[in-house]
Amino acid sequence: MPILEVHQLSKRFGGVEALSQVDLAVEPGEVIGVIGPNGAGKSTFFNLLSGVMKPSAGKVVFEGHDVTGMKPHGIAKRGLVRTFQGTVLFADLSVFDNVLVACHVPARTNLVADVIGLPAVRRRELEMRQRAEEIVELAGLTAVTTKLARDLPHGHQRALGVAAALATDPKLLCLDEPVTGMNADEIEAMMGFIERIRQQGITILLVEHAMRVVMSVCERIMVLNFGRKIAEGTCNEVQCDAAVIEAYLGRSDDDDA
Amino acid sequence: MTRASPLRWAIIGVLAAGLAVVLGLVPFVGGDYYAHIGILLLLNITLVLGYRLLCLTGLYSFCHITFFAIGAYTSALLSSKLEYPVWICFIAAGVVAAFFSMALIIPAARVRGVYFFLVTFGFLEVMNSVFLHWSTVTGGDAGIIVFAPIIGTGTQTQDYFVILTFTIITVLVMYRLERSRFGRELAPIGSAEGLASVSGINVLKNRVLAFAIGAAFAGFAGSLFAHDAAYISANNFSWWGSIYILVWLVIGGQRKMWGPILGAVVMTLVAEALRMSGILQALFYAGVLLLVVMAMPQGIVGLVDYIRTKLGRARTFGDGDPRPADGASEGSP
Amino acid sequence: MAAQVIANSIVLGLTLALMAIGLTLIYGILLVVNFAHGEFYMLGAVFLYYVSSSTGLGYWVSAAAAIVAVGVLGWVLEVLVFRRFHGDLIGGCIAAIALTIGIQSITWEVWGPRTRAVETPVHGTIEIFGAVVSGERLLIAIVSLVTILALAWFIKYAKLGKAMRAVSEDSEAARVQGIPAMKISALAFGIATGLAALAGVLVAPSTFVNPAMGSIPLTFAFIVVIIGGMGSIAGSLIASMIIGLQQNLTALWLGSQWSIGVAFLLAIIVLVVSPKGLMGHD
Repeated sequence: MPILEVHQLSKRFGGVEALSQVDLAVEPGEVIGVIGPNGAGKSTFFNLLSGVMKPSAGKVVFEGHDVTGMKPHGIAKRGLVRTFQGTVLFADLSVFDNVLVACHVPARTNLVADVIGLPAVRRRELEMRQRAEEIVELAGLTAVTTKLARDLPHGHQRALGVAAALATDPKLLCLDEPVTGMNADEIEAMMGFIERIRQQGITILLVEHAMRVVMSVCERIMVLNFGRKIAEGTCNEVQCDAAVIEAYLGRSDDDDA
Repeated sequence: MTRASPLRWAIIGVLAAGLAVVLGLVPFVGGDYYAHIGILLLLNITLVLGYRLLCLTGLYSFCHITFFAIGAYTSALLSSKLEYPVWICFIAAGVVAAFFSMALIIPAARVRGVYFFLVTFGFLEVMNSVFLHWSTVTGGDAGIIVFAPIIGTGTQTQDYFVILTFTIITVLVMYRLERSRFGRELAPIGSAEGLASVSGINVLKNRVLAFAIGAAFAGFAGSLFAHDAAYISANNFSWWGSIYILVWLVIGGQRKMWGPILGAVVMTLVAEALRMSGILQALFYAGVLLLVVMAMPQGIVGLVDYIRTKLGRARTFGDGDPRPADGASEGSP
Repeated sequence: MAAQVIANSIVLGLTLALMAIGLTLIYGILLVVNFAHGEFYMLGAVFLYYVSSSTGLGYWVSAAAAIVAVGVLGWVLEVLVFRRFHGDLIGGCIAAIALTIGIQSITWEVWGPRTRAVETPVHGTIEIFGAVVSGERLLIAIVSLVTILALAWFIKYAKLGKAMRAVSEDSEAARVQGIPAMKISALAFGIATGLAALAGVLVAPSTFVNPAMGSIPLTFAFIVVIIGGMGSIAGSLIASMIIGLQQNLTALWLGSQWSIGVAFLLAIIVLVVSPKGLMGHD
């Protein structure tokens, strides 16, 4: 059964159709890319999936449950988690603390037990720290784990954003332009990280401009233009699709990595 | 959950013991006057720590003093008019204050920044109107006399020790709250609300809880105040109280718990010391405020952070730092 | 009777409007909530007293001088202090509170503990539609109305006024168009404080002038701005008239001690129903 089904998803702003009747089915464990020229509706798509915006029409079904229009934190707790470009959780905290905070989110906790400090709570704390350390290592950030989030170079900040999202124990991870603005080394590192995430069995949805990354990491690609889906398929299929070529050649967009 | 070495704990232990001795001696050294100042100080610490909770989430209220007042009035009324024992009045004070806070924030939380500040200001003024004019219940301008002491015969010294115990408990609870999952979610909400939300943090629920817990503690403090002072009236609870609490928070710095505590202690003592000088006190106060908010917007905590960073030493974050693996601490690019 | 209530409401509403429009102007252009606004109101009245009593120049000239002086003071304070706090609610709040404390204590020192009276420039009363209106009140109403209309014209048609509007809507875009946003901010602050001083000057003859007289007008200005919406001048005007009416009705039906409580309740209700006030932005 698909982990995510999107039916006729649409969003209007005033007179503008930011997204129009988009369908998509994602199987568990897949890595799907969402591409398209600027303004094609990719961000809107993610916003609708994650509950940041409510759709004007259409449905989002996650693991068989209709989550259309749910509050963002509710969707996140069900396992659909997204990253944003550039916003780390807590710029004033260390890398480790950012991940640790996120680790706590999926925990089932009782405030009173927390305050009193029952042994079970202390044990859980230690497990959380362990898990946070593992995730920091997975993200390749162990060397900078005590650095302030805001002092990190761009590449590390993005990796931290993904690491924090990972810490919330997602089933489907939506990555919003994870490599935008990175140099070649940073992109390599991020691609490795994404691969390690995939190996954990987490489904990944990826919005990106960088064609090289999308083509090498994604199994399937959906192409949006002017809010509509104009193509879907494997990398090869999409690359040869006439509509796609026209969409990209017809605009003066850059698509370099 | 402890990350620090045994040596560090030993030092903290010694300091804590020393502090306990000093605090314990206060009323014996300085008599009633010192005990009275001590009581003010301790209550202020409770107030500012409670206030801090919601502030961490990025929402600043202007009615914290009102929950203090609600607690005071609740306790005073239950005690004087219905003659309930003090401990019941005390608990009721916190519960009623928390209840009011939830009634206020559940509709008001969707109101943004500036407006939230002003709505809570409005709430403060409405309640003040009630305190002042609903004379049959609140005694209006004349107030309420509270006969029941907190404990024993109600001397300043006895009150001091009860309030000291209460404040220590408050500090401990706040310390544990910070390290709970709830506490850890507060600062992310204040720092990046959208991201916190999509990461699974229930922003509204956390804010309501933060506001209610803060209000409850303010209510408890209000009850203690009422039974210690033995007399309360609307004049005790003007909006200046809210301003002071905000000032202590900003001067101390809200990022860490010790900031507002320090802010409250320093400013309360300074205010007492300058009490005689009239205009000088006012100008000094204004000057300090202006200086802090222009040069040190993160407060004393922020200043310490800055100095530590400049010295190349790691800031203290939560207790979240992992053991530094060899060489993996500050300074690596 | 009804006519009297309406007449009083209009006068009160217009006075409130002067304060509220200044406050909302500052918020709209600087994104600062000026908690010190009441002090400029007070300084208007205080300066009026000092100028007229020390130079014997009479009400009109002294008033004009007072307004200009306060406006300049406001402009200076924006440049020196408030400039750092554009968009920073808490920082701006504390800075404004510090200024309030400073201004009030200096004024207390100089002024002393007495209240003093200012000579009223207009005597007598007239009757309009059955309502008795004193000369002072008529003066307040007329001057306020004229000022507000002039301000509205200024914002709509004058080059500087249009620049102010542009900055209030989008300061980045305005800057890109070459509008000096900082200078506009300072100007706006000066105008707003001048308006507060005008209110102070108009009300001075009929009230007790003292250094603490600014806090109640400030409180009401906040209520009006909350209801009207931060940043909206039209909203402030409408809300002022509403509150002007509300004050008189509450005094009539419930007793004047409840006026302020009811006003705040109204503000809270409006905010909960429409989180940005009636017409606010941001």
